[in-house]
Amino acid sequence: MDVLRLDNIDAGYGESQVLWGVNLSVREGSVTLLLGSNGAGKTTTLRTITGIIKPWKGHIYFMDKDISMYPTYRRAEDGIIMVPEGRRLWPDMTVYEHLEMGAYTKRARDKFSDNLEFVYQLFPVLKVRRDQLAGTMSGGEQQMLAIARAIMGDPKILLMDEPSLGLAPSIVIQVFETISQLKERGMTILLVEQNVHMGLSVADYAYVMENGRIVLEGPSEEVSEAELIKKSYLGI
Amino acid sequence: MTLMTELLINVTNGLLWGTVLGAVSVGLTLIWGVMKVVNLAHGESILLGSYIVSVLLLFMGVDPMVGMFVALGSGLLLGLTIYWLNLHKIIGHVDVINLRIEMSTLLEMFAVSIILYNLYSFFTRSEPFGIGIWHLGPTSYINIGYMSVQVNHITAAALSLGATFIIYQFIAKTPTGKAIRAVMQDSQAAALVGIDPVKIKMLTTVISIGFTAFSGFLVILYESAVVPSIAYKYAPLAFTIVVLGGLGSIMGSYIAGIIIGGIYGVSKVIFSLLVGKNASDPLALTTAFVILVLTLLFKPEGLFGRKR
Repeated sequence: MDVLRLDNIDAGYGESQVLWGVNLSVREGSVTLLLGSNGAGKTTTLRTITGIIKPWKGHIYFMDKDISMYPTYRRAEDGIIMVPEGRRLWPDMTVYEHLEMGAYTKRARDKFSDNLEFVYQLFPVLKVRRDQLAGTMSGGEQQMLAIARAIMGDPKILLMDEPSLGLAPSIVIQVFETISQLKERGMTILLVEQNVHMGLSVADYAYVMENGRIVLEGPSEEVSEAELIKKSYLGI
Repeated sequence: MTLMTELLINVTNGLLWGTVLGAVSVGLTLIWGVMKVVNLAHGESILLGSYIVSVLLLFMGVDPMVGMFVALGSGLLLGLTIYWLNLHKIIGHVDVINLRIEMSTLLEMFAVSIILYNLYSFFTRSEPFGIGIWHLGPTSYINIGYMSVQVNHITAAALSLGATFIIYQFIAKTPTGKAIRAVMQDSQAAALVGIDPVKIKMLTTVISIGFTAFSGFLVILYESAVVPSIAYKYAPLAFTIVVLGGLGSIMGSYIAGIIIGGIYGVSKVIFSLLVGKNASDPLALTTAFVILVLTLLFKPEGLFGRKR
């Protein structure tokens, strides 16, 4: 079953159109990868899904419900949770307050203690640092907190926007290990990544985007064999 | 009276007044620091509380200790009205508030300020209006060692401390308080976890103006009677205190208020030696604005604010 389906989406900012007729769907329990170079429209796609921008045309279906015009917070209530690009933590709030706020919705609050236990098991450092202000943590720790905050929201689909961007190689490996663990747990994930190798290794299905259009899609083994990917991204 | 005694008396009075100034500034640090609404109607919001308590006492015999809750309630209503009438179309969205929007709120609140000011002037004929000699308990003065202090001033200080403690705990500990801080620091991230930033902004406006009207009760306890132009004494002081304390910091504003009160007490003694008692008051108030200039020059983020 498709958790999320984008149907012929046009979107953009002000006068400039970024997305052109984007069709995309995410199967329940799968990791779906969205690939593309800078400015291809990946982040705009995620922003449209979370409702930070509204589509100009087309529909977004979540669990077969048309949510195209829902405000961002209503989509979070329904279970569309994003780890935003650049982490977007609240610098003057503590680690624990982030976890509490991550579970702000009624639905997530009911599962607070289960999710908290899982998050502490994924990232033990967050338990140790629970009273530290987020703004004073290292980049890697901040990324873990950003992922942890999203998990606390009890996502039905987890959107991750470039979770490895700007992190040290050892932390990048840790982030991808986390994604595998979430996948094992049956979480549905839509991942945007520049790190093609790592992304394809963890994904079940992949879309490739260029100039705001989906130009290629398929199971990740097929996509990694495609000429386009070999030439443009893997440098083979 | 020795200089030392005079200094002690003035500093004590200054600090007591400082607690009122602190409470008066807390509402402003919320609306300005959290939502970037430059509330030029802050002085008039204070006066609403002062007038409500006075009217209830003078015309209906309602005890001001009851009247203060009506003042709070009327402030909440004023906040609700201002939000939907003036602010929603400017700040009622998720996006980050930029300087252009901040300036729009300034103009909008300036209009509110003029309307309220003229309403007050019309209904009171700009004559002093207040609670007169009302005070808590059997005497209006109590002696503490070398000096006698007005009971009303002590009541005001105690209520200011209690009320500020409550609102501080509310912002620090409750889910709604945390949501307010989250929206202040990154409203888009707040929306992504399911917080409705527009609802939080409306709520913050209401709480801020409500608390400000409540602090108007403390002002009337301190001043006994007010005229509309007293808005021009308290509002600029509140802006100074909020900048000194650090925009958005409740504790910072409260402590800065007490500091400004203390400095006022000291400078009053100094200026009365230099220019005589009558001219000392306006000069002592001027000191507060010298401090504003110095803060902006040397510590623009304020005493308790974050460096950006």
